[in-house]
Amino acid sequence: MSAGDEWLLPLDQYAWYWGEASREEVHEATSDLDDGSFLVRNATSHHTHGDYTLVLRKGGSNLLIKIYHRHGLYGFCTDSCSFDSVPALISYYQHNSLEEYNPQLNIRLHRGIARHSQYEVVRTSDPHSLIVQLERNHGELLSLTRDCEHLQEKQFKLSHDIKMLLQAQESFKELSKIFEEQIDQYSLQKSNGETAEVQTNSEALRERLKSINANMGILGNTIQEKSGFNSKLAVDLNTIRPNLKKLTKRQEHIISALLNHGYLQYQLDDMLKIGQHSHWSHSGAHSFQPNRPSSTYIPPHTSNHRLESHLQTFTNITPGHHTSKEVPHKNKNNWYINCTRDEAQKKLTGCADGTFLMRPGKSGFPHSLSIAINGGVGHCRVVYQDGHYGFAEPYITYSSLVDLVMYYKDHSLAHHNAQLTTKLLYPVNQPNL
Amino acid sequence: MAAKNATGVTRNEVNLKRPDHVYTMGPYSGELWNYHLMPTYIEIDFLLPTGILIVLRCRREATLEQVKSELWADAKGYPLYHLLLSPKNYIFTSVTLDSKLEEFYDESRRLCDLKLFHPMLKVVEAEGNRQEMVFNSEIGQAMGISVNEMDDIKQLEVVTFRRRILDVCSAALDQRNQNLPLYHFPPNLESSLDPPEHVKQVLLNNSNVIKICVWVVPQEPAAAASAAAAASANGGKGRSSNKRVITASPDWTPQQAIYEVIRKKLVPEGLEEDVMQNSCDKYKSDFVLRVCGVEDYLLDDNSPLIQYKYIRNCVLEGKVPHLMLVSKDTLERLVVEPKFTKPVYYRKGIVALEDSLKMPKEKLWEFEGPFRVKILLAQYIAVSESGDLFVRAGIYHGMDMLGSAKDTRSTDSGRPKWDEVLDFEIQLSDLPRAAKLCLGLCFSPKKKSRKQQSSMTVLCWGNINLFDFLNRLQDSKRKILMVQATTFEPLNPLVKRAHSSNEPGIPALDIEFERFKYIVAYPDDSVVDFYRDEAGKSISIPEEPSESLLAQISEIASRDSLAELAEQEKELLWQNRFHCRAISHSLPKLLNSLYWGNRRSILEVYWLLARWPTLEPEVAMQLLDCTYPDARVRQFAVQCLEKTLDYNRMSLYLLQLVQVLKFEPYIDNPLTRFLLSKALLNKNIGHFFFWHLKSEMHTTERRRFGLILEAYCRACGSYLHSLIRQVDALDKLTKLTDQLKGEREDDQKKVLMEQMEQLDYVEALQHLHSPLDCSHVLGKLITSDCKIMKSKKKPLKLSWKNDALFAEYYQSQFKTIFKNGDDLRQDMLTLQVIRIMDSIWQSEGMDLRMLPYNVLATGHMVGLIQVVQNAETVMHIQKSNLANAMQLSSDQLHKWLKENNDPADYDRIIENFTMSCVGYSVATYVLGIGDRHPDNIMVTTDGKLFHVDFGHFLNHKKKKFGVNRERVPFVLTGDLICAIAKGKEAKELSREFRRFQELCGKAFLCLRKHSSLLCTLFSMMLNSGIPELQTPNDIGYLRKTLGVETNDQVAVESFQTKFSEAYQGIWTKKVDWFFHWLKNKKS
Repeated sequence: MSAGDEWLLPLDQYAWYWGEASREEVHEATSDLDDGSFLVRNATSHHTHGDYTLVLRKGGSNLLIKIYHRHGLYGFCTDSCSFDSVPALISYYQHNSLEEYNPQLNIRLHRGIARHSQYEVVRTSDPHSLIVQLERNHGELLSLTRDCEHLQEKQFKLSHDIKMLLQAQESFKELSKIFEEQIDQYSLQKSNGETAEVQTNSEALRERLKSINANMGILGNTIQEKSGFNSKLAVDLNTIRPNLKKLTKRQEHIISALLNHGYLQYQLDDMLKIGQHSHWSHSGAHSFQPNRPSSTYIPPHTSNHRLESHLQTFTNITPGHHTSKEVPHKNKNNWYINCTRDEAQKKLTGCADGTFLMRPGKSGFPHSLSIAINGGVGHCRVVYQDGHYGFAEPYITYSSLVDLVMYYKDHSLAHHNAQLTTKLLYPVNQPNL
Repeated sequence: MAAKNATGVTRNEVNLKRPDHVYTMGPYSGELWNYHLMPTYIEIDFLLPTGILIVLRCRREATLEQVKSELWADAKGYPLYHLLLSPKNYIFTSVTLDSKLEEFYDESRRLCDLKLFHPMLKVVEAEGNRQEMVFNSEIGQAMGISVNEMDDIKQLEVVTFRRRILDVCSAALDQRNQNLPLYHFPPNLESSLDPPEHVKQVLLNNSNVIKICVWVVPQEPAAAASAAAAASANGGKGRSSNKRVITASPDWTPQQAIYEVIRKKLVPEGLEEDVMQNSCDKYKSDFVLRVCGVEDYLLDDNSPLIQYKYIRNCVLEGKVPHLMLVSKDTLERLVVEPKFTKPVYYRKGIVALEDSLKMPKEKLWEFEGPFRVKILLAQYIAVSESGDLFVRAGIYHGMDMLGSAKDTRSTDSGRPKWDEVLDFEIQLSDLPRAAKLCLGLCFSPKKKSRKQQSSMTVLCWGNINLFDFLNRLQDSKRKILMVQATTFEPLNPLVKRAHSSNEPGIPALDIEFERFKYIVAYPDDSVVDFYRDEAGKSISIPEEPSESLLAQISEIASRDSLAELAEQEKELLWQNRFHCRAISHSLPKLLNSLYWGNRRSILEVYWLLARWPTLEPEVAMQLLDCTYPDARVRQFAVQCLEKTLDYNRMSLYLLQLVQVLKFEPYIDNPLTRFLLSKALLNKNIGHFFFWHLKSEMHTTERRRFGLILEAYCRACGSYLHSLIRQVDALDKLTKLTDQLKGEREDDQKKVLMEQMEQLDYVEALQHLHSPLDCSHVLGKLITSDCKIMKSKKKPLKLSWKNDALFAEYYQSQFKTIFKNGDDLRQDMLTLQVIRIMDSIWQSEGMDLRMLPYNVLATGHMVGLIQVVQNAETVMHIQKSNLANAMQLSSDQLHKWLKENNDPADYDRIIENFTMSCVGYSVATYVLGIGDRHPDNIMVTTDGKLFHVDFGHFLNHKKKKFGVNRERVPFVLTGDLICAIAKGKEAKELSREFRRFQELCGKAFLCLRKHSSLLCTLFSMMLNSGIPELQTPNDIGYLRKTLGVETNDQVAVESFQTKFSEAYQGIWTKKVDWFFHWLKNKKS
């Protein structure tokens, strides 16, 4: 069977084809879609014998229908595969109800769910601009989430307060009832003489009642005030929610697009983590740019080989900006001085924080770094191991001192030593210094 | 005047005037409205029955008894004194903080403990059944809410439940009374009679015997105490006549051990062998064995010694068990119980119930036509922008929608009124018993351009059962109170709103159900049974299934509880439903495959259910989560639990079992009855049952849990008094810590000490059972050892003396942290799951020396944490040598372990360390426990490592911002490895480290085998309100780390990758930790 004369693309050209999507990813993307929305993903788990899984939205949840691949043909049943391709099968059921397969499924495949967004913004193939978008979106999302949480927290507290106040109001009512009864009691006893004293006593009682009622009045006003504020909060929350939803969706789409470009999940995580800190102060997009000499962002502790090779491949994708620029750091003569520790100390005293030099080291360490910091000078040994330089394991990954300096031009040494809160900013012999 | 101070009351100089008290908006709960703690002296208004007002200045900790006698002395000076009767004819009443008029029968209570709203006490003549009133007020004290609140609920379902549940109570009590000691001191037994491999191994190494030390003490308590004191004063020396060391076989029953003790005692008397045997036989049944220093008895004579937890732990730890001989008479005297009397309301008939049962009904199954509902209007919908509002509605069975969702038309958000009838596909006669209507109010802002996609967002949700507890179909107008939506799913069948809410401005939806001539009802059980059997008749059981078919079913059945089934798989199961019985644990998956909107299928399933083999508890529990709302299915699950769940496993799973009560559509159900009965038969279960319910009395479950609590309190017997003491002590601590938070930092310690010395605090905080473990009796509070801990929430560290006999052989002190301000439920769940993991490992013969210490949430943001003794944080150990910060020494921990132990123990200590490190590394990895640093990893002096503080799990930060909090969820740092490798060079290549790696893999595979159980435990907690566990997607992390969708090979590979990543990340981790330390140092 084929889907008539329709011209079909290869499977991976369809937006509704999700490849190796995780179950959670699918869930998050489909949670509020209408019946008939669908996507196709690879059948991942080891106990699924079909090649693909059709995920169909029906009745507020996802139905999973296996697409079997038998003898070169596709279908829902192992013994009656009759479609030439998955797109042919999908196309058929876009026009015909699934009832043909299962009488309970009186539904057609209405709308393919695109993995990589219907949002205009994501339609770019340039990963760099995607990252910029990701950063912006993440920033917005973060601040909106914060707002939302803040409001929710406030609302929670306020509702609690109101509840307690209402409770108190009830208590006051009970209390006032008791005092009223007591006053009535007094009038019953009136005939018993001892009037003067009883009179004073009764007046005191009336005072009490008055004060209770007054307090109840104040309480009532407070409750009203707080309730008003509370419903205002509800309005604010309800206004934020649609935006929050939009941003959340967009975030998912950008991330999945980036994943498609060969970025790894945890690399994105790392970027966003940095973004989390820098974004408090709304820093520019540069904090996300790959800024290691190789112009590839590598998480500091990565030394996994598989990963390394993977990164190589997308080194080619990400354009390098810094490499092209002429920086004094590139010239070893600008910062390598053949001097002792004491000489270095003298040389750097009084220099701007971040002014540095490299010099020969001693006791087994070929080189040392000296750097001006907080009005003083810090020294740090450079480790040389298996042909690589670095300050400490496992960062001994730089094949030359220049590479090392280039890396720490952009990265703070605080990572290794809390007192060295600076980058290698100014080579000591920098011409323009 | 000074003389009066002794009784705590001073007379006021007829000064009835007092300044108008203007209420500031202070704390809303405390000892008095607006106060955390009542002022030391307080002026109280006394309203006499004569109409007279008297003001007395009283001390906050004065008892009602003292107050009363003062009041009468004082009243002499006031008019109308001659009209008063003697004091014993009167009781005090007042308004409490929960707005109830409460009568105070127990006059030993203190003013500060009455939870008065206003400093006023009214004197009234006592009336009614005094005994019952006293009892009611005690129950109220334990529950934290007044029994009046229950009395005030007139709803038929509640009234009926309160009566019917008493029958469950008395049935349980009949059983309990046959052996009261067993109720009070249930034996702490392991589940399996046969010890696991590693225990057998240890026993073999000890030539299969256990050396047990049994203390024989005189039976009069006073004499016993002095004897024990003497014994411990001499360090056991010289008085060895009190002590008998016996060599027991692990298979001996406690009675055989007692026999041996008596024999040993008689040996010196040089009796003939047969005389001796006779006396031993005669006396052995007069005694029982008790564990020294703790309320733990070896009462079950059908269980061998090695099955007792205490004995097994001693064997594994290489310690000599210390027991004492207690006469049965002494024991019997401890456990006397008053007769159970049912409250007055039990005797009253329920007219409304009888009326409604008599009313003519129409049979649901004879109706034709679809189910429909009319959506009227919405109230209090808060939206600012103008836009469109519409209502989405769906019929749900559990988490599955039957048919499709229906929307009303959109209306302008300014006028949310629809008056629109929604017709559903499902026929009335096909509605399953547990069907509910789920509603979502959705909003879409006005489109700004035509092209723009309309973005619809749900604002709030609401749900209602279609049938009430008497099987009657809804048929009138209803107001549905809505709950603010927290996700973007338009409908949420799980949410619930508290029953009675007097809050104004709650969004609400008015709907109207179709009205029929008579009430329409779902058929009674007997009718359903009849149709079920009819349906059964036409079932022809197909021929023997093929091997391959069974293999397929078995494969599907073995998947975890959250696995999604493909339609083809569902079809396969349903087609072969009769064969599924052969693989009994396929039931949950079979039920998932059933379409619950078809009556015929449901009847067939009922027919199968009646013939289904009994399930293991771990499988049966699956049937109690939110996907299985059907009453018969849940009943079947409970029947299985009744047959198979022993007390040991029940206490392991109790947390979840209480949580799934929330998924029960009605208050009265088999699960409630089952749990309540067990709680009434076993004090240990009852204790935690009480606290798990009590801790949620502030939530939307207040009514349901309150009702169950009431029943438990009515029937738990004398233990109620102990519970009240626990509740009081925690109340005191809560108010104290609330107060402390308002004090200046420098003053806190002083305020704490002052308050601890107040009479009421001293009294409330001593001699009580520990809420963390009711076999621990807390003696005197050691005030000098109590302190405020240095963390944000200002927890209190408290120490109690263990006053029990021979406490030094158990623990001479009980140390506990009291925390006010943190939600401890997540910690509690994490530790419980770690405990279950430990039991999984143990059953597989792996002893990983875990220390899942006890944590108990006792109320809203309040709870207790057990302090593991002789332990330090890794941070503390590292800090002891931090001269050169840059060169963090990684053998600090190893050194510490060495220095703190005898060199002879070195191997054992390192073994402890390695094993516990395996356990915790795997457990924290699987559970995605974040935020690990040396401040929340601890080590005991004998080398056991354990983690504390489980603020984040399931790698939760990720979900929030799309960011992983930690790159490496596997915690393995240089100093840990150094200790594992016994300080060797090239640690990662050492034999020890490779063994460690292997053990990790093995421990991981053990857990994988039980992934279904782990997933089930988490999914049962989905409605518990733990913020990081809200949707099945949260459990996705657990499924991923366990690799449930892959095979062992792939899962282990991915585990190993994580393991090496962690190892390679060691250096980074150390840097992170270093920063953490710096941060702490500054603060």
